[in-house]
Amino acid sequence: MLVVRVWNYIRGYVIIRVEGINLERFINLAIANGIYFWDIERINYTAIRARVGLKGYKQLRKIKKRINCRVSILEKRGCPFLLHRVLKRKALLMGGITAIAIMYFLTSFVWVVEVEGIERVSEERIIKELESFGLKPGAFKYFVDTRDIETRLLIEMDQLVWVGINILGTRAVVDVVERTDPPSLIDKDVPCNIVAKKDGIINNIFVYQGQATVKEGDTVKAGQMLISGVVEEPDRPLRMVHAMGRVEARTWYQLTEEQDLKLTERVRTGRSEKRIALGLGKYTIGLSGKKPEFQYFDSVTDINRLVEWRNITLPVELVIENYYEVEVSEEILTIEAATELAVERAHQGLSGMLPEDAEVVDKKVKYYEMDNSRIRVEVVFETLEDISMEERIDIVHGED
Amino acid sequence: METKADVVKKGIADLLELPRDIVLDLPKITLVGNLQLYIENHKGIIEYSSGIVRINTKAGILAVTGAGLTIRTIVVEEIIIVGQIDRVEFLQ
Repeated sequence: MLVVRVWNYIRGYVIIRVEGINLERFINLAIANGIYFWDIERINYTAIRARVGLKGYKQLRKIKKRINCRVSILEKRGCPFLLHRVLKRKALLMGGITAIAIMYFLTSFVWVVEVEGIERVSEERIIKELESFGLKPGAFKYFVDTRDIETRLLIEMDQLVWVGINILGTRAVVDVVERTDPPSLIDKDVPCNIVAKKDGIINNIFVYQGQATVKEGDTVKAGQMLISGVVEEPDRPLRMVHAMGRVEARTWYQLTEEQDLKLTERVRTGRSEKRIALGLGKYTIGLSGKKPEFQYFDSVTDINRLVEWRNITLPVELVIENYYEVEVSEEILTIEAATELAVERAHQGLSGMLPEDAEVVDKKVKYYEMDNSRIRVEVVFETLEDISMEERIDIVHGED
Repeated sequence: METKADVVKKGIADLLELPRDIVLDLPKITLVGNLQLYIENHKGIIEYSSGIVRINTKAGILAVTGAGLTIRTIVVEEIIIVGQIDRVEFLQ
């Protein structure tokens, strides 16, 4: 019935008062003519109140002539009347149109420029460059040629490898990828020493230029000088050279891993629920979705805030919660299996720590049972690697 | 006041197990508690006030008495009366 009422409201109807002697005849005649009435109420002996559609009301005139009765409108309801009233109020209508036009106009500008993906390059610099290309708060967004600006920014800034500009509403999001520079080398002409990068035992030392200060089998600490660039020879003046050489040393990498004997595994089943809510300050209003009925689940919550403007954060946010159903399985591991797992993890961790040129010569695994439920594994990699590192010689001038 | 044609129709309806309301053009009346009365296939209303509604049907005049009766819907085929319904009777 709600549908019928909504439909009647859209079409528009009037509440009429009919006065006369034989109103039953009036009703019969009306329905015989196909006029639809509803909510007929008796007011008193000579009057009824009823609702009738707009079209029906026009047709009533014919019946009025045939039966001696008086029809008056008590109320007009529905969209056509509402529309008519609104259209009559020209100022309001103009205001509404102007508001929409202004909103459309204002959303045609870029209001915020966000730079993402920067680590070393200064954000200010990028923003300044973008500004000079025409992408700045207040720029008309249809005039901003993002492809062109991307290319120009890449040409202008050597530190960037890739730039992507997306205009999302009134935000311009600039994604950048920085160039990773190779480590800077000291120029061949500049005198330098070779020092140890890390602790180790010298295995091999080849000196191309300079004077070795350690020998094979020596234990060195990080930062210790290995090959000196200051060459002292009898009967000759002191020489400063660019020390060069290869110092191969034994180094150790150690990693400790712990492992519970009770292994709980969470596997996503593929079923998920999404819940969207509107956060207003402390309150949240659910917009769609519901809390999941899963027994175990992982939840991931995204909070989207409106744009910040001059340190004013609106307390309005869109909260999207994703729930993923998981199956939890428990397994009691044997000590061997647990050790294997921990060692594998330690190996992975260690491989990440090793430099590229390091060569693993030995692996040692020690494990302890901590109590009945945990084990600890200590994995030590013994490696051979070049630990040489150039260090500039700072010449301290003595005071004359 | 049954005519001969009605008798024949009734016989056919019984024989073929057809619904009588269709064959004999009788009203079908549905009462929901004492709140709503739904009459299909009526022949017009004779009297309407908040205490009594009289409706013409093929089976005679149907009188509905109660309090605060209003006609929710009225079209050629059906009437819906709502309010507090106390009595529904046929006046022959």
